[in-house]
Amino acid sequence: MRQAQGAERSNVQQGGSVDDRQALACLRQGDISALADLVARHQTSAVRVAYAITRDRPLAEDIAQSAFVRVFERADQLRSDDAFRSWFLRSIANDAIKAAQRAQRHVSLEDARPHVAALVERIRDPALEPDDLLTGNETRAEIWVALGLLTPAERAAIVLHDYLGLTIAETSQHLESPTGTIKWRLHRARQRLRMLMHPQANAAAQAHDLDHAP
Amino acid sequence: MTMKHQTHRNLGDILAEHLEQDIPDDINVWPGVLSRVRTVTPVQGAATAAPQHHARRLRPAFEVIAGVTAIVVVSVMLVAVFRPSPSQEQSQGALVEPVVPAQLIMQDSMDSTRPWAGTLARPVDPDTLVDLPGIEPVDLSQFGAHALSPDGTRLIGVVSAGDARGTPCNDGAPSGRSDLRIFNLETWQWEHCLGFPSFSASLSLSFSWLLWSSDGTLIYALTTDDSRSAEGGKADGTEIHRLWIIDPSGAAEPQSVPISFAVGGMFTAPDGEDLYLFGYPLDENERAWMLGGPARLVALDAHTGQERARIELPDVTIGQTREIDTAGQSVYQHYRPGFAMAPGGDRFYIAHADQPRVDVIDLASMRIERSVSLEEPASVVDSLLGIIVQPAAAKGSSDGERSIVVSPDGSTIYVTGVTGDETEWSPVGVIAVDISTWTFRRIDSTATQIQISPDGRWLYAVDRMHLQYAAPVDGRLRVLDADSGEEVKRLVDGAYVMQVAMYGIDHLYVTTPTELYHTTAPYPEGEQLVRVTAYAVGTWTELAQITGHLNLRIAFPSQ
Repeated sequence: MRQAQGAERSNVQQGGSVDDRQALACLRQGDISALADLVARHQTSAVRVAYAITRDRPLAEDIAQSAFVRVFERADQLRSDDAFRSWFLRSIANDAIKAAQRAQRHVSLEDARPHVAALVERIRDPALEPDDLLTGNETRAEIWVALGLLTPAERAAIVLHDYLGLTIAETSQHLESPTGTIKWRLHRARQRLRMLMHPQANAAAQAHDLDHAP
Repeated sequence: MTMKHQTHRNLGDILAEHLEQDIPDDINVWPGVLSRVRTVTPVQGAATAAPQHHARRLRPAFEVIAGVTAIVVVSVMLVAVFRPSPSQEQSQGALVEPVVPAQLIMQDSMDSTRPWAGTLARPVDPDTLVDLPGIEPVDLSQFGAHALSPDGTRLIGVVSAGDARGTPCNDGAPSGRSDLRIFNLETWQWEHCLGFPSFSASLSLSFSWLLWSSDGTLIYALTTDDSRSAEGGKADGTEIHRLWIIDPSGAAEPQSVPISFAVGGMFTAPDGEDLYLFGYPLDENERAWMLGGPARLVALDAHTGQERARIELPDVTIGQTREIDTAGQSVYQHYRPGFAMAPGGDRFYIAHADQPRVDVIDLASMRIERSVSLEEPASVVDSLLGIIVQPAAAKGSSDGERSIVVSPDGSTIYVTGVTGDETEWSPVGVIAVDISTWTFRRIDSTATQIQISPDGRWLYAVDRMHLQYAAPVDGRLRVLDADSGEEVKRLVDGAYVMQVAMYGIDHLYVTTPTELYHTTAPYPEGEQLVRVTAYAVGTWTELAQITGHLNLRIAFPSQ
C-alpha cells in the first residue's frame, strides 16, 4: 500500500516526464494515439482523485474523460515544459470539487450516523490495538464514510496532501487557495476525523461537530 | 505514538487502500474519451472534407493506439475520401476524383531533438521526394483543425493566440482566442485571417469541424462550447454546437445557427445546396456524451444553416450509453457506426456498429430506402456440426467500429472495421456491397482499415496484428484488387503502417518506422526514425525512399 501511495506521490511531484512531453508534442501534431498514451498513464490516478472527492464513480470517470478531452482540445495551449501530471491532477481535483459541490454528494448525516456510531463503538473496544483499527476493512469503510462528512474542498485537501503526498505549499498551489486556507482545511478535516477515531472523544463535542458538517 | 499522529500518518494509506479497492488499476476510460473525441472534436488532419481526424503518426511509446485509435481515425478519414469535386459529374456512376493538394507536401520535426517544437512543411517532388528548390519550409503545425479547398490550393486552419510559436494575425490577441487563417499551397504564402469579433468574444469555443463548400465559396465551421465538457452541458440542451457559415474572403459577416445535438459528421452535397449533419441528441441528465434519443441525419440549407429536413434513426446506436453488464455493474458502452455519403450526393450509408447491417438513406426524400443485411450464413461444416457460427466480421459489438468506403464511381460500398475492444477483438475484413443488386460478398477477412485508390481499382488494406496497449507492433499493408479482393502486392509485412497516402492516381506513399524507431532513446539527434517510401501505383515499384525524424509524414495526403 505504501508503495502504491509512494508511486502516486513520486509521479505527481516529478517534473514533466519525457513520455508526457513526447505525448503532448505528438498530440499537437494531431496524433490521437498520443492521447491514448496519456490516458493509459494517468487514468487510474485521475479517476481515484476525482472519486475520492466526488465519491461517485460514474461521475469520477466522467470528470476524468472530460479532462482528457480537454487536453486533446487544448493540446496546443499546454506548455511542454510544464509537469503535465501535476497540472492534470490539479485540473481533475478542481473539476471534482465543482462537480461535488453541484451534485451535493455529501453523505447525509442520517446515512452517516450508523457508521459513525459503529466506528466509535469499535474504537472504544479495549481489546483492539490502534493498528487493528487502522487496517480493518470495516474501519476503512467507516473512515471513508467519515470523509464523506467533509466538504469537497476539505476532501480535496486531504486527497492532495495525504493521498498524493503533496506539501502544503503544493496543495495550496494546486487548489489555488492560500496556504493558510489549506492549513485550516486540513486542520479542520483532521480534527473531525480525529474526533471519530479518538477513544476518549467527547460525545457531545463529536455530535456538535457532526451536526455542523456542511 | 499518539493517536493523533497515528491518524495523520495512516490517513493517506487508508484512503489509498480504499481507492484501490473501489477503483481498480485496470480501469479503462479510454473508450469514453475516444468516443467523445471522435464525436466532438477533430484533430488536425485529413486534408479535405468533413471529419478532420488524421492521426496516423505513432511513437513507440504510443503503440497503444494499436487498433482502436488508429481505426477510428482512419475510418473517419475514409469517410472523407470521396467528397465530390465540383468539377466532376455529379450523377451516380461518374467517377469522382479526389481533392489533390496543389503540391505534394512533406513535413518533419522542426528540431529533431525537440519534436514538440513544431514541424516544418515543404513541397517535394512526387517521384523523388526531393525538396523543390528555392522554397522555404513553413511551420503549418500551428493549425489545429484544417481543411483543404476543393481545388487543392488553399488550406484553412484554426490558429490559436495561445500558441507559443505565435501567429502573425494573433499578435496582441488574448490567449485562448482562436481565429481562422488561410495558407496558399500554390504560392506558398500566408493569406488573410478571419479573426472576426464573434470568435474573439467566445474564448471557450473550440472548433470541431471545418469543411469547404463543394464550390469553394463558403467554409463551414462547427464549434463546440467548452463549457459543455467542463460544466456538464447546457441545461436546456438547446445548443451543443454552433454552425458558422463563413465567407473565406472575409468580405461578408459570418452567419451562425445553434445546433442542439452532438454532431458526428458533416457533409456537403455536390450541388452546394444542402449541408448534412449526422449525430444524436444528448442525455440532458448526463455530463458525458451519452445518447439521449434517436440518431438523426439533418439537412440544412447550405447558405443559411436553416433546417430543411431530418430523418430520425432510432435503430442506429451511436455515442455512449450506460448499460448494466452481466455482473450487474453500470458500464459505458460505445457505438461507432460507419457512415458516408455517395459520390453523387443522393444517398447516405450507415453501417451499424451493433448489428451486421447497412442502412441506405435516400437524401431526396430523407427516407430509409433499404436496409442491407450483412449477416453471413454458417458454413456447411458448421451447419453439419450443429454449430451456430456468425463470422466475426458480421457480428455486432458494442465496442466495435465500422467504416464505410465508397468506390469513386459510387457502384460499390465497402464495409470494414473491428468488432470488440482492445482486449477481445477481431477484424471485420472487407465486405463489398454492390448497389445495383444490393447483394454483398466477403472479399477479405483480415483487414481492419482500408482506403481505395482514386480510380477505384485497388484497395489498400491494413491488417493490424495487435490492439492491446503496449503490445508488440507489427502489421501488414496489402494491395487488393477492389473487385475480387485478391491480394496483388504486399507492400509491408511485419511493421507498423503509420500512414498510407495517395497523390493522384499513380503515386502511393507509405510511412513506416525504421529499425531505430523501437530501440533508441526518445529524441536521438540525427537518428532516422521514420521512413517514407514512394511507390508507382500499378507496377508497385519503389520510386524513392527517404528517412527522417519523428514527425516525417506526407502533410496533406491526396483525398
